[in-house]
Amino acid sequence: MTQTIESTEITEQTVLDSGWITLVWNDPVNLMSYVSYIFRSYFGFSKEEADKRMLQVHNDGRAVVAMGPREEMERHVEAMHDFGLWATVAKADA
Amino acid sequence: MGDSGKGRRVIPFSKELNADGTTLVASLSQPELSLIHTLAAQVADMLDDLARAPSIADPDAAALYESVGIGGSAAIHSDPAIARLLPDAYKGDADASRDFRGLTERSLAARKVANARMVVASLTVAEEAGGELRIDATQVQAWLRTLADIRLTIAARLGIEADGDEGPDDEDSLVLRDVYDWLGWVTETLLGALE
Repeated sequence: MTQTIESTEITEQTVLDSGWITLVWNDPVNLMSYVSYIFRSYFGFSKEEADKRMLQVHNDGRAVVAMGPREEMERHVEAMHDFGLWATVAKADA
Repeated sequence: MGDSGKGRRVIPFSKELNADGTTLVASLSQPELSLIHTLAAQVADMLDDLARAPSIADPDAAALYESVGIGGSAAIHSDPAIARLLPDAYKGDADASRDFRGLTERSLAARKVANARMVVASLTVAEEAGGELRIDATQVQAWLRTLADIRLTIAARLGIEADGDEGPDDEDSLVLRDVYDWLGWVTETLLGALE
């Protein structure tokens, strides 16, 4: 039973902590190759995963690139602004 | 997203591996060097005021403020180029955007100014070396970010806001558009050399 209670707590904690996302928005300026490079070099995505999310940005206007605690998402957004990408923080369920 | 103006002259960056890591080497003409030099310096100048700590009379407080690096404006800048380089971090939440900007805008602007100045410094060395540009891994990162900042600034001036926008077709705008496309190629070849 102890184990059940613990695992419930962990689940709730995880939900609270990962309730935020980092969104990258399409823009007409940054090159597809540059966006893919950023996704690989900064987030550590594979080439395939980076290209997939880059195309999502390009085709759908935006893509989720990270999920987690708010402070971490804000750090990611700042890093994206460093690169010249427009990124925002949002609630995961918004 | 943008395209890189295919068919234009490519700066042939080549990769050199040495004890300090990878160095990218390119040969640029004098007009190319001075063009990027001028544009990078303009980005640095444009953001310089926003990158500075506010003047505080007490030197201890000023030093603390400087070292922590926090600070920023209350709202997004009215100049569309600066607004694009220092954008809101929350969409549709003005309070959260303002709070975030107040903590981070100055350091973001300062990093952009430092990147642009690093590009200028590497170009100054290249100008003295007869046009041979040599950039190490740290400088490559400054170059990529500054090229993006320059192109975002030009795009804001030309009113390029959505995919497919071309900007005005008067002569000055067309010249600027050519520079914008060419810098896209420089970015593309830099990335290609990094692979």
